[in-house]
Amino acid sequence: MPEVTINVPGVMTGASFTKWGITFYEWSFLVTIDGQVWVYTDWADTNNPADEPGLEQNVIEQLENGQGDDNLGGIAYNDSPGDQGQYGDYGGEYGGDYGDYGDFGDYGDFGDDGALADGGGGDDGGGESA
Amino acid sequence: MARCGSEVPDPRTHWMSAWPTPRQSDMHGRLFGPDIPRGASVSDAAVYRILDDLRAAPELRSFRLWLVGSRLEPGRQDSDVDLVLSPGNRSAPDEQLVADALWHCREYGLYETRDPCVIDPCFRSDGPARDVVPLPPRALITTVKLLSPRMMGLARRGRLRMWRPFGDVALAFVRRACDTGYYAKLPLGDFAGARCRYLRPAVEIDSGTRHLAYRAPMDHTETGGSHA
Repeated sequence: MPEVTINVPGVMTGASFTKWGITFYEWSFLVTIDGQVWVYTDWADTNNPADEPGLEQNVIEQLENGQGDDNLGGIAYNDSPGDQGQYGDYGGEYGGDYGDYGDFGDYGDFGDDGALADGGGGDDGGGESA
Repeated sequence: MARCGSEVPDPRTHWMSAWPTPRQSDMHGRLFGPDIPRGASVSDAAVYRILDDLRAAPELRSFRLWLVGSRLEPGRQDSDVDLVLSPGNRSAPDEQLVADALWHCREYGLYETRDPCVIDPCFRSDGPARDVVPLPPRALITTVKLLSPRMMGLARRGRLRMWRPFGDVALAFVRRACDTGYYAKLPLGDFAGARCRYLRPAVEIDSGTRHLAYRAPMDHTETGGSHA
């Protein structure tokens, strides 16, 4: 089991999206896993700061238990978002393309049924070899 | 054992506010900008030559090289070249060495071959998939890639479950398989009666690699997604 530390309390970034009539809010956590610092993103159906401790505990449990998913272990792949597709992002994108949360249809399944919602990976710009 | 504290400043804001650094801007313009060479179809033979050259490059001496993705299949001459780097020995290479190696791969394909092609390199400390095994949609994939404009955007928009800078021009990140763009395009196979997507087994690049053509490893396979 990895050693997991939440370095600072989670913060809401202000981003949100609504799916199935539920609004999900982006929470960002700074975590240390076995000595390595990461940013961990969680989409939760709460924007109440009072819920932060519970979310924090959930993040810890997920990370300590392999994030509750089917960890790949030694399996690997080139996680290719088709970098040719990045031209569209180039030039003026740095400020953050924050206006597209409506397209979170490909992300709305985050943390539940694991289904490929709306075709999956919609913004990846292609696929393994686009 | 988990604990909480406030002694560490939030590097998320710090990291993002520094993007793009001058070197990252240089990389974006040279490797990801609108003016990069965009060659036409690149034959398998040309790809073999390029891979041989990369295998011989001093910059990649510390790594094993693997071809993955659809380029393993014949007739994919319009596809980019998906390349996985993994440690050449048991010790993990320095993060900056990895970042520089990824840069070299991308740049070599664009500027240093007679058949320009888009190489999409990544680093995997555990190496690529070598066997045909199902890839569950919720499988977590850890990858290191160049910090391209798109990867910056994904991090900014919360599309990456976990991430951290890796060297000065790369990003380590974790995503579920189903959150990637390629998952829906992976081939389908039968696994004990269950249909599941799987990764094409990687082919290691050794000097003189000439037979990269992928063969579907099981009957009744089909390819999902737009490549079907």
